[in-house]
Amino acid sequence: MMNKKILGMIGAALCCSFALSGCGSEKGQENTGGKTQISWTAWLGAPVNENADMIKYWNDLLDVDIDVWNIEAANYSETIALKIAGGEIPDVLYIPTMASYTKYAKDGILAEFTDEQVKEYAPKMYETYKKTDENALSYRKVDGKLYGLPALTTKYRRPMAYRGDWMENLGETKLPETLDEFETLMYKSAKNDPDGDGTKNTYGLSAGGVYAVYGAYGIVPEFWMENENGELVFGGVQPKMKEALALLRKWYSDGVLDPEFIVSEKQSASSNMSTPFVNGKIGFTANGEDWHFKPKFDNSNEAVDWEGDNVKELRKIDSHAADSIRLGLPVKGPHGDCGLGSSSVIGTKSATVSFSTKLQNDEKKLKKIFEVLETIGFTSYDNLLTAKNGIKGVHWDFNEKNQIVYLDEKYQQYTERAKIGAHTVMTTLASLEWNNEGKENEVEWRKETKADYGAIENKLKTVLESEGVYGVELEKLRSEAYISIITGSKDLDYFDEFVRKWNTSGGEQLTKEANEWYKGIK
Amino acid sequence: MQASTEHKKGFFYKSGLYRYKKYGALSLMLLPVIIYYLVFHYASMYGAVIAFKDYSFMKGIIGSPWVGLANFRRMFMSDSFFEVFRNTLVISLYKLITGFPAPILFAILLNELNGGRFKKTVQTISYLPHFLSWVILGGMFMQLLSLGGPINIFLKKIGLDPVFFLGDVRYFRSVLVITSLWKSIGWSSIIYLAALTGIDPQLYEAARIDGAGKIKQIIHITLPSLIPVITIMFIFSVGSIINDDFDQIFNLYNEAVYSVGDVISTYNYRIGMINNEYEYSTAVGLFKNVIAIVLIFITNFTAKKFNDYGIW
Repeated sequence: MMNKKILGMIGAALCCSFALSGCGSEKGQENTGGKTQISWTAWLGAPVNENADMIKYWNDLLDVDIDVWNIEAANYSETIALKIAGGEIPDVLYIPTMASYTKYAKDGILAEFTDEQVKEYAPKMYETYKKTDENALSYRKVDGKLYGLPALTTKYRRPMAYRGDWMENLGETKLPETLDEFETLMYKSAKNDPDGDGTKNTYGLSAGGVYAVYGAYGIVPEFWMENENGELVFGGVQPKMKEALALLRKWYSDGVLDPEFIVSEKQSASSNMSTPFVNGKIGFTANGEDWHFKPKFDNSNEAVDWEGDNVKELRKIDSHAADSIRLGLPVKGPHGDCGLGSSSVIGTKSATVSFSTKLQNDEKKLKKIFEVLETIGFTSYDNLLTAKNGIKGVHWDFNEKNQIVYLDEKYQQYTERAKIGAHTVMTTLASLEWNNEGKENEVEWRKETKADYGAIENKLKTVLESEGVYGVELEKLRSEAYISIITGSKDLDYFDEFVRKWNTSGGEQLTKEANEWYKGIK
Repeated sequence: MQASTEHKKGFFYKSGLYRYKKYGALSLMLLPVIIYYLVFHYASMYGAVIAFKDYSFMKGIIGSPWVGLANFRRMFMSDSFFEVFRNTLVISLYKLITGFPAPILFAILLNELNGGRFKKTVQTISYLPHFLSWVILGGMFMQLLSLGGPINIFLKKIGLDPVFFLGDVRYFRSVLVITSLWKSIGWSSIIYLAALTGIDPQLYEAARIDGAGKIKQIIHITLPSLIPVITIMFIFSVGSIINDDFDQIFNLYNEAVYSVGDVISTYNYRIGMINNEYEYSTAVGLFKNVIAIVLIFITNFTAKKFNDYGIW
């Protein structure tokens, strides 16, 4: 099926490439008013209107002529690949995945630039990157050369979310701090009828919750971590993992771990609501990120604040339960490890912004583009606010509490903001400096819940050369091994065999490449 | 008269080409379709050469370097290849065995119904699932078949142990076959129903006069009349054995049933997710198509041996 599509795509690309390139050049010649023309791509919440307010705003302010390519976000990767195959590369190319970025860089469709150029063209942006991570730009180097700027995303740890009303019914008041205490609570949640309906229909935890157990052994199975020798090793094959699996195996056979844990808790790929948690099947989850459990604050930066998905959905069923949700800390395991997986400010999951190879020899234009990117995302809170929400006084304004109020109610919808060229259209690259501006309550909440405590990040921040060859196979091997050990269809000692297989099926090669990369970064 | 013209025009006449000239206007109307196929189905086939190349956007299809059979070698060498290949064939075979005769039987049964309204209602209901996408059905079946779902509640009521249908290697393939049957039975029966309406009622009348009952009529009139359609549909079905139903499996499978449910297209999809490896997926696609065409030839040849119907 895939193949047919791709063949079709390539065929269509072949047929259309001449026609398209013809159109492109004509369009370019139409309005040359001395302004630098920049073709632009980004993640779009909705197609941007012709003559959109915000595009005009930035065009006038920065003396450029920005042409946003309306590519639907859901099909972005396919569509942009098709355009590139047809010879059309936007000046500012938004690349959502690290794998595509690496491929494009190797294929030679991206302009190469240096750290010094970033420093010279956009000093504030450069400074922000350096402040975030000394190696921020190095993470995007492919064969030692820089082709793209990484997007910055706030770091979020997995949550440790408990149903407070269940704990109350079970006579527990203290949130677990150690794995033993955690185990006791999980057993009670499964055995002692926490929902009080008289039937045994609850479990302690499910697919997301197992990460809390892995974390108590200091492991995130999908992540690379540093061992005591300063080398990168893959979390999923560490000896401690065997202990974690042994515990989960016991919980599974005792009916504490939801037998359906192999099916993701997520309602859908794009949702972060935990279905079993909201449906009252489990009393604990570590699914998603902590803000998916965020309460609604009266005093946020926007007049109308929102509730995290899980709280919102649970409220529809049981308002008391929604208010009772408690966030705990990662629990301490038998070896003193304590942690939980977390996203990275700059990781392999963050997007990249690159530039067409046509700009390689057009330093003037490249410089201008850097200026645009820096002005919008890195110079001031006002600019960023404008880029995200629209023009103050036209689309929104502050109320007496200094909160954002949209002057037309429709702009509360991000799709409406995207249509005028705000929302994410211009802000793929933006400093995180002003993220907490006006969100004192939320900052306080995150501090109170120690939302960053014990966060384990993936130490590997690049796509390895052989990942495309071995990645899927190894992932399959790993998930099958874990499931068969936990459900008891294979002995616990199968873990050792799995580690051997993992190493010989490409894991060794990946480890070697990971360490080569790691040395280069250090 | 005709014989003499044939003699005169020789090859041009024998090959039948003259008829295109004779019906010029009609031939012209055929032209757009031919052009459509040439441009969108044949010209684009050229892209399949990237299966033998190390494809790169910048160098294009022609400029990318040749790598011989490297992509195919990678496919055969990967640890999971034979597992997913076997799963594809086994699941398709199960689906063929159940899914092929079922619509024929269904069409014959429907045909025997007399009541106009009842027949129409049954027909419409049986078509409906065809129009639902697997994304929706996947969610539906996950609920229905989950441990707390209605089917397991029923099993518990009659004193049986609950079964985790979608997470148990023993049941997963059956779930695939049954759900696919349920979804497609009505829709696939349409072609047979159409063929059934073409049977001359006089045949039935004559059979009745000779004292043939319903069953005899079905065996000696209905089924033989359907043989041409059945043959052609069978050739198509065999040809598509290698094509798994990506949408269905992708929406129903999970890691616990990889060993019985992971098929070529889902495996390939996961590879595509990590890397945009067009050349590799093209190689897999080409391999599948070669198998499909060989299967079609074999079935067509065999079918023609036994009766006179075939695709060509």
